[in-house]
Amino acid sequence: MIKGELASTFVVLLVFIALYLYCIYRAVRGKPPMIRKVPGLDAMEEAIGRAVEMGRPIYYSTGVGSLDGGDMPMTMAGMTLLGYSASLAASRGAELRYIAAVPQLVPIAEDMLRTAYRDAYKPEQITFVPSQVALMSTIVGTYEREKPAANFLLGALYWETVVIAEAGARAGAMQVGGTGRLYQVPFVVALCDYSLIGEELLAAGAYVSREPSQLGSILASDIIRFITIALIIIYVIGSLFGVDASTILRF
Amino acid sequence: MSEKGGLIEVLGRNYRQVIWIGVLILCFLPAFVPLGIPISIDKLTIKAYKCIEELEPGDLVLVSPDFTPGMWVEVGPAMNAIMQHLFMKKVRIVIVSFYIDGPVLAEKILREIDIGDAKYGVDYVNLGYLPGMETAMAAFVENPRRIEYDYYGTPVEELEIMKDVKSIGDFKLYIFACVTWPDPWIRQFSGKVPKIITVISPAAISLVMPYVSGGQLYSMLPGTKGGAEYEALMKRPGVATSIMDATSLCLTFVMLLVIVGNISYWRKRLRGE
Amino acid sequence: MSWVRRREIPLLIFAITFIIGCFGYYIEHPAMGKIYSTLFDWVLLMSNLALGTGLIAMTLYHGKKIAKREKGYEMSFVVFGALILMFVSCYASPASREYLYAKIYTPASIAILCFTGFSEISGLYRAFRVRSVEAFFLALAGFILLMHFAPVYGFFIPGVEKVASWLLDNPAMGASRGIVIGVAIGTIAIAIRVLLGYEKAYTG
Repeated sequence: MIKGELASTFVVLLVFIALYLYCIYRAVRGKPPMIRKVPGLDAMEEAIGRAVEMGRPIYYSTGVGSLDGGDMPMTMAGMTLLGYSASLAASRGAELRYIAAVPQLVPIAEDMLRTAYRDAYKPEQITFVPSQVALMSTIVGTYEREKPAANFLLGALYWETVVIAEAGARAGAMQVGGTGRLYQVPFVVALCDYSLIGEELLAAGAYVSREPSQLGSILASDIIRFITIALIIIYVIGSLFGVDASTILRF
Repeated sequence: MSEKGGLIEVLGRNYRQVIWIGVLILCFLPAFVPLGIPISIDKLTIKAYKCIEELEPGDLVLVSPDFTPGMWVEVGPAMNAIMQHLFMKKVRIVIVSFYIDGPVLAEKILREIDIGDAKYGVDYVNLGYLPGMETAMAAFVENPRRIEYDYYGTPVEELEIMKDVKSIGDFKLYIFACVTWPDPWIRQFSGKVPKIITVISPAAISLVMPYVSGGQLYSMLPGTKGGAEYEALMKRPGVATSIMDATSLCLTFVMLLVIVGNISYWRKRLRGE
Repeated sequence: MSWVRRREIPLLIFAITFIIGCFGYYIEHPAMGKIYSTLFDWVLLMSNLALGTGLIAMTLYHGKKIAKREKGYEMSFVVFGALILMFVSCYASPASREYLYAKIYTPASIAILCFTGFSEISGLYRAFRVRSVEAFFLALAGFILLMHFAPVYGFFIPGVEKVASWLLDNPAMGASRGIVIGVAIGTIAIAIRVLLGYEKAYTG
């Protein structure tokens, strides 16, 4: 019934799913795990305060990452943080604007900004551009003209990162960037004032919402990560002694 | 302030204008004065070349030009070189695109290379665009005959080349060009076709390397640089080779600027500014 | 709340497609294979429909902009003009369509890309500023890779290619694998949270 070559991965997947379900159940039942401080996320509040003082807008972008495949977790984390920063900005009286390059994200962002700003919401707060190139050129022009006080660049970022972060730096904006996409991480670190690297971004939703289910899934992810590291170490030690330890997972 | 110090200060302050003017000059210069800067050939380009060289005439090869026209300079010239080689080897080529611009870019490639006496529908076919990205790839892998009409609206049953395409396993090689996250193509096609070669933006190399060493990808061509290397192997210098002159000059300029910028930054820092 | 706005509906669609997609991949059974294949047909059909929906949405958006004389409405005329021109050329003459695509759209796209390239280079200049020890290593690795991508250095300094290959094959690849594993784990986490109805970001 189960395809022979995929049996072991199927079993591993089921074990991981069970672990997630257990950790989420445990957290929801009142034992949520603790999560360490993430300076990049605390800096968002500071950046919003700066925008209020300066009377200039905050710009937010999730890059060109969509809601599918490997981009999905990062984009979802980016959208969660959009909701968080929008409600924070709305409560302090700052204007947050979102530039989207993925059509599916527009209605989600609209809903989030509408919820945050209520009657103060303006449709111009969301700009949709149809491609990566258009996103980059729109941002370069807009930042040059409007000189935003803060620039949030959080999501599955592609090579628009350098252009957007450079435009933000030139405009003098306080920048918070974050992605899990490897080859953009160095640019986020080098160009932004605060950065969220890899798992920090994925944990952001849990960090800002403190929702037990999210905290529970982070605990499960960490346990799986430790299991993976242990397997890698076993494999490396096995290889040193001429033993193919990868057979552990072949059945 | 010394003359040298003054220059560095100016560069440090007005770096944007200096960079832009410099890049503009260095991009245009090789177009008027070809420099013929020599290039070295990467082992992966040689591997890709040998893979195509070993194909037999009549073998089926699947090609996906999945990028946008704006990215033509990044991967287009390399695709031209590789497609030229495929036509020279007289293999049969099936083109399918998972990006909306793919079919038109395929036409552009076919127009720009020498296809010899290859006949449409017999030696090559353009199946057009299949929407849905990764899901579309999975659907195509599950059944390549799912597409009923080619790019020009001809039913695929009427195309001779498609008579031999019963399943994805009929293809000897899959070549895809993309400029972003290559995982969807690798996830869906790896293990289904014997060999996969990608033409990819140099920025994505570190993402592709684990797949090359893991065997999911047979080889890769890093953008125009890979194209220039491929043209050198084919002994047919083309667009990619000419772009390499400008690339070498611009990258050298960037390196110089980084050094100058750092000197300016550290001078200021040491002075306590 | 209207039933079409209820969150349970997208959740249910996600759950069904997730289970079919997941089990269809692992399980070999004629019935499952048929469901799996049918699901693909549906997705392809919906992707095609989405293109049509996009056209309608775009027409409504720009139509409204012109009707209300909103800021930049003149550009909406350009959008409609280009749309009609491309549509007519597709059916009237394939040669003119090729011309519009190859001689106007492609160079325009490349030009915009090149324009952003200038910003990218000045961004690199800023990114490679050695402010700390980490930044020094980033700049050093970046330098070696820049030499790797400027083929002239590989020809005159053979060691550069070796060092660049080592950087790409070892540290970069190790980090790549770590990120790939991390993202894979994160994807499972998100899928389960969506399945259980805890993750709501995608429904707004």
